[in-house]
Amino acid sequence: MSAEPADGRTIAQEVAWARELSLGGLFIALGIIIPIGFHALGGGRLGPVFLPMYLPVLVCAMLVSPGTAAAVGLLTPVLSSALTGMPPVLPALPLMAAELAAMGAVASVLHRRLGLPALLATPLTLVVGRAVLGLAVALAVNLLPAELPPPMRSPALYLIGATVTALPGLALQMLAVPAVAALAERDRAGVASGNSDAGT
Amino acid sequence: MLAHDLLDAWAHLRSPVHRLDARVKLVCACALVIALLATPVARPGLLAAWAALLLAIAGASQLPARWIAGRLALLAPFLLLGTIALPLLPPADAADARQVLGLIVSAQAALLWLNVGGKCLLALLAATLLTGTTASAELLRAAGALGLPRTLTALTGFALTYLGVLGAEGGRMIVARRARGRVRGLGRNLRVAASMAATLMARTVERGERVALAMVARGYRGRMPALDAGPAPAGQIVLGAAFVAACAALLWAGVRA
Repeated sequence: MSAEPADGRTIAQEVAWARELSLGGLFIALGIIIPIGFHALGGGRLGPVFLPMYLPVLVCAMLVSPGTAAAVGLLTPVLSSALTGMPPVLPALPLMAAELAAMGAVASVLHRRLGLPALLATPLTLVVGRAVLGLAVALAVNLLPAELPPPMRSPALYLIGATVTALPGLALQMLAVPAVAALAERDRAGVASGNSDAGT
Repeated sequence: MLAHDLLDAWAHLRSPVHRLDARVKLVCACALVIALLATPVARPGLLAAWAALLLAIAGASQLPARWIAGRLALLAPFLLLGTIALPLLPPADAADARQVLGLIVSAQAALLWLNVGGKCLLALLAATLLTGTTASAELLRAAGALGLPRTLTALTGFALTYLGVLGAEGGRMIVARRARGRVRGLGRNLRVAASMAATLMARTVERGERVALAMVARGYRGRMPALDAGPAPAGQIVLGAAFVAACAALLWAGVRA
């Protein structure tokens, strides 16, 4: 068997790309399932507090390339909204899609391209995510009618409110993402070295 | 069970909506959602027109009303929380203040909330009708044929395929947790939920690695197979174009009125 099959890709590259797709797809599915569990537990109140959709997207970003991570960040809220209604199509879906796509790409660049440890890459990614959320809200506010009460027209107020509400979730991401990513990378090394039986 | 409930549960029916080509349905649904989102806040009548159109399609689709209502009920917590928060917003001025059930609310904020809540509900209804009347594989094929990048269709395909597998795995973990005894208190429940989520993610990585090796072993060569289908029937293309034009005309007329 040739080590360099069709269109110049090596077998290692094929395995790597297959791994990107399978991991990306599986983590999108997790990004739909985990929030359902949180909503079942807290009746919709726990989502904005614990940000359960962010967890699989960030962990996935630590394991795949920036392009795939951005696609996972974009598709997870879109598919979840289409299948479960959460996040609602307005106003949360466009804001979350922009934030998660940016966070996915940034986390992957920081951890996989620049070699930053997940413990450092995660808080930096969360800061970038909040900045992107602020920009998206500032853009969205321009579409609102001018007669609305001032609190509804202030992107800064929205961003502060959303960030304060999500403080437990942001802390959870900072603790959980590096731990799960380390666990996943250890398991991945185990599977790659043939410790698990192949199959689906 | 989860995947079956969310996808393909009623895709086998033979209603006129089910028989439409998936590409035509996808284009029509996208056009309808875009028109819905473009509806100005000050036009609640236009929102009612979109609701009537969607209800007519729901009737023609022969999907069980209870199933549709169950899907729409997923939005109930969001709508409830937004409604409860409405009196917390102070009115912009005296002319904006309205008294509802003894509470002072901002009329503009109430109108905006009605608009946002209505749009969310109708967009979910459109998505429910699309996924309820079309098999997920057909939808992916349609998205691919309409030019969505192959990476996105491949990722979506994987996600839909493994939604049921991971949902079942999560369900087994919940059963195992219950079998070990009842956990009381939100804090403890959250701790258990967090550790379950972490375990599920670690297992997902293992599964992803195995899936990738299995893909390569079965002949995957760095490209997902093309999902192109034959051309859609001409009559259905005309019907789809007429629907998109009607949406645009209704939006234009509603905005101008």
